[in-house]
Amino acid sequence: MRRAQLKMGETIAIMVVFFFLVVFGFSFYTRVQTSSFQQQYRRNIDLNAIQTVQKVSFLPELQCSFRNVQVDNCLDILKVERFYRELINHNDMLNYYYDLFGFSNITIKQIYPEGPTYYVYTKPLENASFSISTYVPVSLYNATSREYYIGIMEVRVYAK
Amino acid sequence: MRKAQMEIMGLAIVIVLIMLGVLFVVQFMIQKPQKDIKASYTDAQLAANMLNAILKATARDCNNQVITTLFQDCASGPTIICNDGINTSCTYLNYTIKDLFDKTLVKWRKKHRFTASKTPVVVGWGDCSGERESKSSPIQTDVGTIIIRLDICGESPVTPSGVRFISNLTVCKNYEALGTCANLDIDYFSGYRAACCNEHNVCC
Repeated sequence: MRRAQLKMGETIAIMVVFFFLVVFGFSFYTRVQTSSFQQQYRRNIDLNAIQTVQKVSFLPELQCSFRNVQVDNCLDILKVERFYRELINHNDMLNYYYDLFGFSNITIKQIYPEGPTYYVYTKPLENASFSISTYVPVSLYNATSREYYIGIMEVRVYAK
Repeated sequence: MRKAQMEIMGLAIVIVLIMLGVLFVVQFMIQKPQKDIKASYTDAQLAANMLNAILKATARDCNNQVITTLFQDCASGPTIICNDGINTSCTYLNYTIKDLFDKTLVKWRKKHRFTASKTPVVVGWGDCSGERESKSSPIQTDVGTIIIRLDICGESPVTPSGVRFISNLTVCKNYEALGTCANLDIDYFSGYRAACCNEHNVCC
């Protein structure tokens, strides 16, 4: 073999190794980026879930109020029941609250004393790939008997 | 350009490529895993909201008293007898709060500890010696201020072999000193006494 052929072989070998390294590096980078995108997506959905929890917890339509002073972490049972009744009967109202809560289900289960489950908002996403549930303990005020109960609010946010 | 210069140029390019690769790997290695936003938010809210909701609640089966009133009565020597004619404010609080947490915090696998100073009310599940999110609320009573406290506990410390402790040494020792090791499984959870024995050689 001549010297020139040897040189050519050497150059080709170097090129092969170089391109192998480039392809390996690129595939590694792509994989890392994909996982980072997924993490970011999951993070955004978590933030969305927290946002929804905050919005519903401080919704004046549901909060307990005494002489126009609202009480934190307290929902009025009568307001909750009426709110849901109006929501399912009025499509425009559902559309309005869709802007606030998006695709989610919001329910409150009375756990002390054992009681019913109250529905606040139901708009699940058909063919959602997953959903995140957040549980928040709340006080439930029964204005008729002037008693406070304990409830667990479940906010389930759907995502594709 | 001479041949030697070409060789050095090639070497320099190889070194630059290696350095880039190393920098890339180091960047991923030193990057801390991001904390789960939802979990940290939930723990912080959970302790505060749960405590507020409990203290405000009306005990229908204990003379319609507010839970705060029952704590006040319990601290100053229980005088309130509940509707069943057997339970005092203290015993009622103990089993009601335990039942409440069994339905919520235990179900969600959240380790916790609930205490009320100057009262025998203690409810807990799991080891609370690691990180924790605490909320407390003072209540005025005849015997001074009592502090109602709820800890939502995070991961427990790790043994040298990398296994997490289930039990707490102080708790195990206290129960052994009082000769009440049998209550560990009732007060905490089933298997706590065995964990004390295995992990700390106490209550065996």
